[in-house]
Amino acid sequence: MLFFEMIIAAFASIFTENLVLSKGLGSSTMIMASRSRKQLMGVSVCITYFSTLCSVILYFIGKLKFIKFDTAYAPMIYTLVVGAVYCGTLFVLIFASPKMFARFKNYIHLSAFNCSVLGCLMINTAENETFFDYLNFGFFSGVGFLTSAYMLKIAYNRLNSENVPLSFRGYPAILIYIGILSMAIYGFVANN
Amino acid sequence: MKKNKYIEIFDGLFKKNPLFVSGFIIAPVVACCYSLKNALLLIFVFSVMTFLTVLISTFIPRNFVYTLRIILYTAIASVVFVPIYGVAVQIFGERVDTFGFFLPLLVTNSMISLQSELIFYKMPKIKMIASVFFYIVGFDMAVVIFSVIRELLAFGTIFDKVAFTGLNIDLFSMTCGGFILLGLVCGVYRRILIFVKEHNDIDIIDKETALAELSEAEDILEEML
Repeated sequence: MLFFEMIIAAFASIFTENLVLSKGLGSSTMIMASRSRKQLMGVSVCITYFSTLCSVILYFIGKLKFIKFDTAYAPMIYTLVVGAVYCGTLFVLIFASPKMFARFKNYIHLSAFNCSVLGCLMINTAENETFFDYLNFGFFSGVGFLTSAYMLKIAYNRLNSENVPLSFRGYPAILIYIGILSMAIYGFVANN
Repeated sequence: MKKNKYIEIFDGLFKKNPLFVSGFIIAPVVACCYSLKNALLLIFVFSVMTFLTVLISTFIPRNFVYTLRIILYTAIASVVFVPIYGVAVQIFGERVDTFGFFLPLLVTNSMISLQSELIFYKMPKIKMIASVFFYIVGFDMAVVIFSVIRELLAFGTIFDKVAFTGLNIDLFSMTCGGFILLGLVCGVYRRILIFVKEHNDIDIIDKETALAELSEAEDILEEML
């Protein structure tokens, strides 16, 4: 039963509730990350790491009775959580694996304070209740980011090619492409 | 030489417009700006918060490591957001609820976390303040233009007043329609910029060169990597 529930929740986070395609969160980072496969993997791994770990921490913070996730004050709590994970990660990487630190340093900077990570945390606190839900949504929204970034990567070179009219080449064509992907996801949700 | 300085200050208005050219802060625009009233709310919160945050953040010593600086920038934005959110509720009432978590998310907007490091803090203070101001105004202008077109296409209204009866394309009120429309508007905007460049700038030889120069603005994020 748990496995079945996990599959459904994962499917929802990756496709029907994909943060980039259904809410536009992290779209500029995704556009940047899709330029090369290496960047795509680096940024996606870091975003998945941050959204998962911060979701878990946030679950336990949410259990504290005196903390309320009020819209005005919530960003402060999220910033503290992400900031702590960000510092901790860099600290561990520097001392445990300098090689890995050199490899992921820039991706970590870019991924930590990112719309998709913060958006994931906000949705988690607003909609989910159990530890399993927090963990699942945190992890699979990162995988959802990877999926949408990969879908963009497939078309990236064509959208930047000379076949696209000059004024629409690159960024405008990419936005239209993301819109069409988003429409496909919406159609899928509506049909269900 | 003096002219170039001015061009740099005004860059955010047209040449490196944060929304139409650089592609920053897309999420709240495509998700929530389907009417001019929503756009005004976004403009209010974004403009005041970003301007104050960037200004306050200039007092953070530059010898702090980047890791610490970026946390402090976001922390300052989170603190500044509290009173601004209160004022927004007073002015815009229940409309604030339609934005959901998109308003708090503005604390991590690229102008605070990225552009401040890559552009603003490399400038002298007065020039920086002017530049930040024009980047914000550039974003605001873009949001207004986009929202007017979107509201007109989606509901046939402008500022909730009927402008065209029968014009009601639901697609544009949704996130997917927002992406598509923003792409179309960006394309038209870029065409206008290329046209202006071709006619005003003697250094620009052809359209390809003009496009290459425009694309430089898109590479701000790339600099991080």
